[in-house]
Amino acid sequence: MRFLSIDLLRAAAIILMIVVHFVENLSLLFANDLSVSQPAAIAWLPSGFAAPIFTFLTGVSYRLWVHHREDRGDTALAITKASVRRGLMLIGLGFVFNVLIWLPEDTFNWDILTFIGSGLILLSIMRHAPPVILPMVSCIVLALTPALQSISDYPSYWQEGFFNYDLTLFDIALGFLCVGYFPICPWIILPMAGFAVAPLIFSGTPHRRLSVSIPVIVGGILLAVCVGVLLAYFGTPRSSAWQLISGWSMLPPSTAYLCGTLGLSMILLDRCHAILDTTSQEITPLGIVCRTLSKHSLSIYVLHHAVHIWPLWAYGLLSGEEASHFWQKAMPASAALSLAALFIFLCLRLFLWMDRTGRLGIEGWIRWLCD
Amino acid sequence: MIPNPATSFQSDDPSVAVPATRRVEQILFTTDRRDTRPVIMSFDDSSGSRAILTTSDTPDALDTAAVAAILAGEALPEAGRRPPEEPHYEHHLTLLLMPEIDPDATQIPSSALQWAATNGRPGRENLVLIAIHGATIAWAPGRAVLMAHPSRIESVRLALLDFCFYEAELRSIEDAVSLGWPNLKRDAPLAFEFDDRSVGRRSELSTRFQRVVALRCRASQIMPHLNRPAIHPPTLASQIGERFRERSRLESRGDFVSDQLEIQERVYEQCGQRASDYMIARKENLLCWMVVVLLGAELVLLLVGLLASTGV
Repeated sequence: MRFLSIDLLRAAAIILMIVVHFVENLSLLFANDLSVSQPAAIAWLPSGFAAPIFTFLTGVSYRLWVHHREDRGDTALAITKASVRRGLMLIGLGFVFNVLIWLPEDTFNWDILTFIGSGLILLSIMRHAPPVILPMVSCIVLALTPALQSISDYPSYWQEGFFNYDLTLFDIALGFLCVGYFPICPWIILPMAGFAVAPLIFSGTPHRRLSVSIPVIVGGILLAVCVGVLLAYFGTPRSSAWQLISGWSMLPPSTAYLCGTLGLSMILLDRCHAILDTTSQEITPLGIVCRTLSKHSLSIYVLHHAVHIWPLWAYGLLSGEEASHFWQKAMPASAALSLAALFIFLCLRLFLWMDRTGRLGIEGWIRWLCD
Repeated sequence: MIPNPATSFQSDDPSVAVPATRRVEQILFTTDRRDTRPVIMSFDDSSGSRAILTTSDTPDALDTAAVAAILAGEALPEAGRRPPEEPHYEHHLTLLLMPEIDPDATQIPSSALQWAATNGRPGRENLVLIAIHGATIAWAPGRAVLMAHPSRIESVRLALLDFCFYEAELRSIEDAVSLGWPNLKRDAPLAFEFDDRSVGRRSELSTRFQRVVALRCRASQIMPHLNRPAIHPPTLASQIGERFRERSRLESRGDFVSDQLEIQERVYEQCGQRASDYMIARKENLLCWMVVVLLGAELVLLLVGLLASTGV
C-alpha cells in the first residue's frame, strides 16, 4: 500500500534535491551555514532538508516493507537476505554512479547511494533489536559525532568545498565512518529514526488531525533542542568545536542541524499521514505527481546527475580544460534554476509514460533482481 | 463426608412453605448475599449459593393464571436468563408445583410436560421424567414439574432443587468450556512458540488462563456433590436425587468436563510459561544489545582515533 504522506514528502525532497544539485553544481554554492549573512544564502537554507527527509523516509519505507513481507508470511531469514541483497545492490550502484558521474577519483566519496545501501544492511540487523535500542543508538551516534569529526579532523578533508581524500585505506574508512558526504556517523540516525517511528505513525488510524502523537512530541523536543542550541550559538564566541554541535551546517552535519531536520521530518510525516492518508482509492492529480516522483526516486537521482553533470564535464573537456573546470561556474543561478524546473517537468512526463507503458526504472530492476 | 441436603434440609422460613394449591415458582440460585428475598435452601458449597424464591410476592391470582397458562399449553414469561458466555453462579428454575392428594393420580398433564420440555434452548429438550413412590417429577434444564402428596412435596422439592442447582452449575461450566475451544485453537500455537507479535496477547492469555482455572476450581468444588454416594436407609428425597443424577449422567459429565478443562488448562499454562520465558529472554536480549551497542560505540571511537592518528 502506498501512502500519500510518504509520496508527498519524498517528492518534495526530490524536487528540492534536483534544484539544489542543479544550482550548486552549475552556478554558485550557498553553504548551508547560518554564518553566511547573504540573504540569498539564508533563503537557500531549506535546501538542507532534502537529504534528511529522504533518508528518514528510507527508514520508514523499509519498516513498512518489512511489515508487508512479514504479513505475507516471509521468514525473518528471507527478509534479511532480501534486505542485504538490496543494500549490496545499492552500494554497488553507488560506486558505479560515483565512477560514471563523479569520475573515478571520487569512487569512495561515500555519497547517498552507498549510505542508503549500508543503512539498509545495518537496519536489517538492527530490526531484530528491542525497540529501545534504536533510540539509544541514535543518541549515542548523535553524541559521538562531534567527537568523531573532531578526532578525524573533518575540516582537513573539506578544504576545497568537496570531500578531498587520498586513496588510502585510512581515508576511505574514515570517509565511510565520519568524514565522507554521507558517512554512517551521524547520518544513520535518520533512517534509524524513520524505522523506529514508522509503527507509531502508521499503526494509528488516519485522520486523527487533532491528536498529538509520540512522533510529534519527540519531533517537537528535537526542534526545541535545535532552536535552543542555535540561539546559544549566536550568543557565544564561535569556535570550531562549538560549531560542530550548534552551527546550522550540513557539511559537516552539526548536532543542531540533525536535531532540527529529524524533528521536522517526524512532525511533517505524522501530520501529513494524519491529514492526507485516507482509505479512499481516489487519487488527485497532485497525488499522481507525488507518487510518480516518489516511485522513481532512485532513477530520478541517477538521471538528474547524468543530465547536468555529464554535459558539464563534456563542455570542460571540449573547451580544452579539466573536466571539472566549469563546476559551479557554468551559468548564473537563475539559469540553473530554470533548467532544474525544465528537468522536473520532462522527468515527470517521462516517468508517467514509463508507468503507463509498464517500463521499469532502476528501482524496478533492483526489485526484480533482489526480491 | 458430604451431607445430603435432600435428606437434611427443611426450610425454616414459613413464607416458602409449599402451598396446598398448584402454583408456579420462580427460583433463583445465586451467590448474592444482598438478596433479601426468601431463601428456600442453602447449599453446602464454598461459593455460598442459595436458592431464592423470586415469586413469593406474586398474588395468588397471578399464580393461578400462570398455572392455567401452563396447563393450557400457553407460553409463560421466563425469568431473566443470562447468555452462557461467562461462567456464573446464578441460575434460574421455573418450578410448577402440583400437590395431589389422590394417590392414584400420578400422571402429570401432557401440557405441563410439554412446557417443561420446551425450555427455550433448541436442541436441549432432554426431559427427564421420574415417578417414584407416588411422586412424579418432570425436569428439563431450567424447568420442572413436581406432582406429589402435600405431605411429601416439600422434601421432594428440596431434593429437586439440590439436583437442579448442581446440574445447572455443571451445565454452565460445560457451556463455558465449549465456548473456550475456538480461542484455544487460536492460542495453541503460542504454547509452542511465542514471538514479538504475541507480546500484545499476554493479557488476553492471562485472562483466559484465569478463567480456565476458575472453571476448574468450580468443577472441583461441585464434583463431590455430583458423585455423592447413595445413603442408607434410602428416603424418597435421596432416591429422587440419585435417580436424577443417574438419568442426567452428572458423574460422567463431570468427568468429561474435568478432562476438557485439564486440556485447556495445560495449553494456557504452557502459553503462560512460553510468554514468561520470552519476556525474560527479551530482557536479557535487551541487555546484550546494550552491551553490543556500547562496545560498538567504543570500537568506532577507537577506530576513528586510530585511523586519524595513523593515516593523517
